[in-house]
Amino acid sequence: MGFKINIREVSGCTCRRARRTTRQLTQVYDTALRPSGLTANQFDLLTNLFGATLTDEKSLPIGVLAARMGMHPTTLTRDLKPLVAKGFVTDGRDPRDGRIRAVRITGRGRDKLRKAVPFWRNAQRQVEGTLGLEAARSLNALLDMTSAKLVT
Amino acid sequence: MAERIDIHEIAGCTCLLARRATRQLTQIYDTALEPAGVTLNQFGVLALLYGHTQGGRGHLSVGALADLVGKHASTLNRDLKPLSSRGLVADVHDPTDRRIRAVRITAKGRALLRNAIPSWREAEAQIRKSLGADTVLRLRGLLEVASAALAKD
Repeated sequence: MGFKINIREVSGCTCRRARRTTRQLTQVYDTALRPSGLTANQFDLLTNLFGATLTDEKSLPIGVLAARMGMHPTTLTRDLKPLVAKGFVTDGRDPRDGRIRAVRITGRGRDKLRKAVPFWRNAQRQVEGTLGLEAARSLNALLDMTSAKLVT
Repeated sequence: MAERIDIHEIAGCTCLLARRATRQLTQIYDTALEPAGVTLNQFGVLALLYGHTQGGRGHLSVGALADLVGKHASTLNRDLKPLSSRGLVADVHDPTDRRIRAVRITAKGRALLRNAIPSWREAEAQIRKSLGADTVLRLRGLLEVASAALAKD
C-alpha cells in the first residue's frame, strides 16, 4: 500500500500554472496576429532572429537560437520549416563553422515582421489593459528573471 | 517610408517571455519525470482526473476535464490517446447520456501517478533552488492573477 496522493500538493504545481497562463496569453496573441499571417510562436522566432541581425551575429546557429527560445533543437527545426518554405528565414551553414547549421532572417522576413508589429501591439495593449500596466510589467520582469536563472 | 522595427519594444512581449520561461520550466519537469515514464503534461492530466473523481471512483466527461486542464476538448482527446492505450485511463459510458464520452483513471494510472510524485517533487525543489522561494511565490501569485484576469476577458 503506497502513500496517499495529496492532490492539493500536486495541483499547486508551478509549471501547471505557468502553462495555463501561457496558453491563455498565446490565444490572445495568436488571435490578434491572425490577419498578419503569423502565429505568436512565429512572431517570437522572427523577433529573435531580427534581434540577432542588430548585433554582429547576423545568423544564429540552431543550438543558440534553441537556447534563446528555451526549445529543443528538434522542435525548433520543425517550427522553422514553414518560415523557411515561405522565404522568411534561410537555413544554411554557419559562416564561421561550415559544419554548423545556422539560420537567418531574410529581407522578406523582416518585412513580414514589420507588418505584424501593429497586430502584435494590439495584443500587448490588450494584455496590459486586462492585467493592469503595473502587473503586466511585474510579470514581464519576473518571467525574464526566471528565464535567466533557469538557463543551463 | 515604413515604420522601423523597435526591437526593444517587441522583445518586451509578455507572450514571448511567458512562452520561453514556460518551455524552460517544462523541460525541467519533463526531465525529472522521465524515469517515472510520463511527461509533465500527462502527469497533470492524471493528477486532475484523480483529484476530481474521488481517486478514480468516479468519472469525468472529456469536456469537464478539458475545462480543468484549460485546453480545447479536441487537444485533450489527443493527449488522452497514449494514456488510454497504456491502460492508465479508461473510457466510461455515461449511463444518463450515451453521447457524452467520459474517462476515469485506472488502478494502473493511480499507481503510476503515485510513483511519479517524488519525481515531480524533485522538479519543484529544483525550481525553488534556482529561483529562490520568494521569487517562486511571487511568480505563482502573478501567474494566478493573470490567469484569472485573462479568463474573464
